[in-house]
This record gives sequence, C-alpha cells and structure tokens, in this order.
Amino acid sequence: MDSSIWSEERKQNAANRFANRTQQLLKDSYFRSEKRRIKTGLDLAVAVAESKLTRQDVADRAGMKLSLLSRQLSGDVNLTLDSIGRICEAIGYEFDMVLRRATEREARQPWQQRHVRGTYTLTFDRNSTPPAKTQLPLEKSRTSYKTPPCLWQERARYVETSPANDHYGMHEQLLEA
Amino acid sequence: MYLLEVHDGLFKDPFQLEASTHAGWTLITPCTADLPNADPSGNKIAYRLNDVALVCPLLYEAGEFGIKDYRNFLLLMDTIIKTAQSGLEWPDVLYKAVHTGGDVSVKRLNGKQESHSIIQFGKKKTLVRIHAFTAAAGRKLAFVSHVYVKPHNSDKTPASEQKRSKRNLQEFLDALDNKTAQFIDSQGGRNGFLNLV
Repeated sequence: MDSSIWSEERKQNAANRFANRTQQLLKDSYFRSEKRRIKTGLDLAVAVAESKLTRQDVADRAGMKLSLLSRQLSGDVNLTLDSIGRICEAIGYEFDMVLRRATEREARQPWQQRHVRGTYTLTFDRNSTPPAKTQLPLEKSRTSYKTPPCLWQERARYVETSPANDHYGMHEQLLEA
Repeated sequence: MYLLEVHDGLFKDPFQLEASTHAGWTLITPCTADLPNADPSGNKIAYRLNDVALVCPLLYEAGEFGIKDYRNFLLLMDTIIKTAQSGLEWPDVLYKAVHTGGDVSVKRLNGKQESHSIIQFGKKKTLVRIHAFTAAAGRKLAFVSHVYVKPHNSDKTPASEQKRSKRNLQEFLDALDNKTAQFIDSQGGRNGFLNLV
C-alpha cells in the first residue's frame, strides 16, 4: 500500500480514520486487556533477556516447557500470578502489584531506572548537608541544589517507601548513597 | 526530509507529541511535511493525533487497513515501542516476532555502497509487518520504513515491500548526507536530534 500516489483527500480521510479508530480502541476494554497482557509478557521477556540466561535455562528453573515460556513471554496467553511468580523466581526477581491512578505514569521497571536521557544524576544524602556549589559541575549544582530542601526531603521519603513509583529516578542513588 | 520520533505517547489517551526520554532504541519514521504552526486565523494549534497522522505515512496508511489488521498494527507498534525502551537487541526480547526481511544496498553521497538488513517485525498469526533498519553509533536508532499487510498465500517478504524499504532508506540517508533531515519542530526541529545519527 504505497501512499506516494494518493490524493490529499484520500490521505486526509485515512488520517482521520486512523485517529478515530485509535481513540475508539483505547476505550475498548478488550483491547486494553490485550495491551496489558502484552505489556506484562514483554516486561518479563526483557527481564529474562537481561538475566543473560537462555530461555531454556529459565524454563527449566521455572519448571515449564520452553514452548510454554515462549508463549507466555509473547503476550499471547493470559498469564497467571503463579506463572509470573515462577518466571520471576527463575531469574532472581520478585514482583509486587503496584496500583496507580489511570492518569499517573506507569511504574518504572528496574532497567528503565538506570539511564534517562535529559535528566541529571542527583547524588545526595538526605541526612547530610549539600556540598559547596564549587565542588560540583555547574549543571549538577543547578539541578540538585536549587530545589528547596524540604521538597527534596519529601521526594526522598516518598521514593524510599515506594521504589516502584520512583518517577524521579532517585531510588538507586539513594541506595548507593 | 521530516522525521517523527515514534513513541507511546502517540498512542495514548491523552495524546502526547514530544521526544521520549528513555535511552533505549529511538524509533524514527519519515514524514511528508512539518506540522502547521498555526491555524489559518493565526492561533497556535494544539496538535491532535489527526494532525500528526496526516503528515506521517506510517500512521495514515494504517487508516486504510481492515479493523483486524489495524488492531494488530497498534498492538505490534505497542510491542516495538515497549521493547525499544529496554535498549536490548530485538531478537533477545521479541524472539520469533522479529526476523530479517532481506538485505538492501544503498549508495551514500560519497559514492560508497552500503548494505543494510531489513528488520521485519510481525507475529506469525497476524499478517501485519513493519520494516525497519537499525544502527547503533553512539545512540541506538531504528528507522521505521513502513508497514504493510502480508499476502495470505505467501511466506516470503514481497519484493515490492523490499523495494519500498530500500527507497525509504535511500531517501533518509540522502537527507542525512545533504543535511536536510530534520525532526518536526514540536520534537526539536532541525538540530533537535541530529546527534542521534
């Protein structure tokens, strides 16, 4: 379907149809369930790939056949909590069910908390006083220490109690500190 | 050549048009034009998905798919975008949902002939396929060429789709070499993400 010879009107109609259908599908509960299933399967697939174990090893450790593991990681089947738990255990993870409001950002997975483009690494200990500005590069000092202390202390407490909702990417730094 | 960074915000409600901030694969796709800055009466435009879809062949071509293929296209895009965020190699995560769609040969401005492999995304059960090319020089970049619906009676990648991928890649590389490749203004404009490539 090469659109290079399409008329402007046809493109306009197709674009409108695309947008309308997308909005309709996003409201469709069955589609949303399918997306959720795929997301869960993909999160597990990434975790398995990151573990550096082969899928066969993971399947053996989880006590299931390779074909079943592959189907589960592809998002084609409805995963049970038991299956998720077995796969997580096989790769050295545990999982929690974290609730959030529909309007809030998704909880970030461990691999999503490592490098975030366009943000600075905040290195501070909430029990210590910030070092002098001259000890830090300009960008870091600008980002880290212009924030009022009460706010970053608030954030630090929040992150400590709820690492899965760490939207500021600070949990790892806190652990390191 | 205008380019759009494809991210999950495009397929969310509310719709978002901005550069994503993860450090995995950055997905870019060719567009036919920039988005308009203002409406005819000079008011600043709040972009909707329709506006973006109108300049992006990857999106508006899917508007002519049947409802089942269209649904599969959205799910496939969702899968690709979420995998991209991890930054891992595609086959390590997607396994059988990704395979090579053949090699294409393109010519750079300096006269060098280059060979690139088509990465083809698609689940076995579905007929929707997406062609992309990847490069990892500094940042990981995936150029999403186009989407198509595979014929029912063929297992092979149609030659016409390979040709189209080649043409799109050639246009993209020409634009890079001539320094005319630019992201649409709302995602950073001319110099916005050129350092990615």
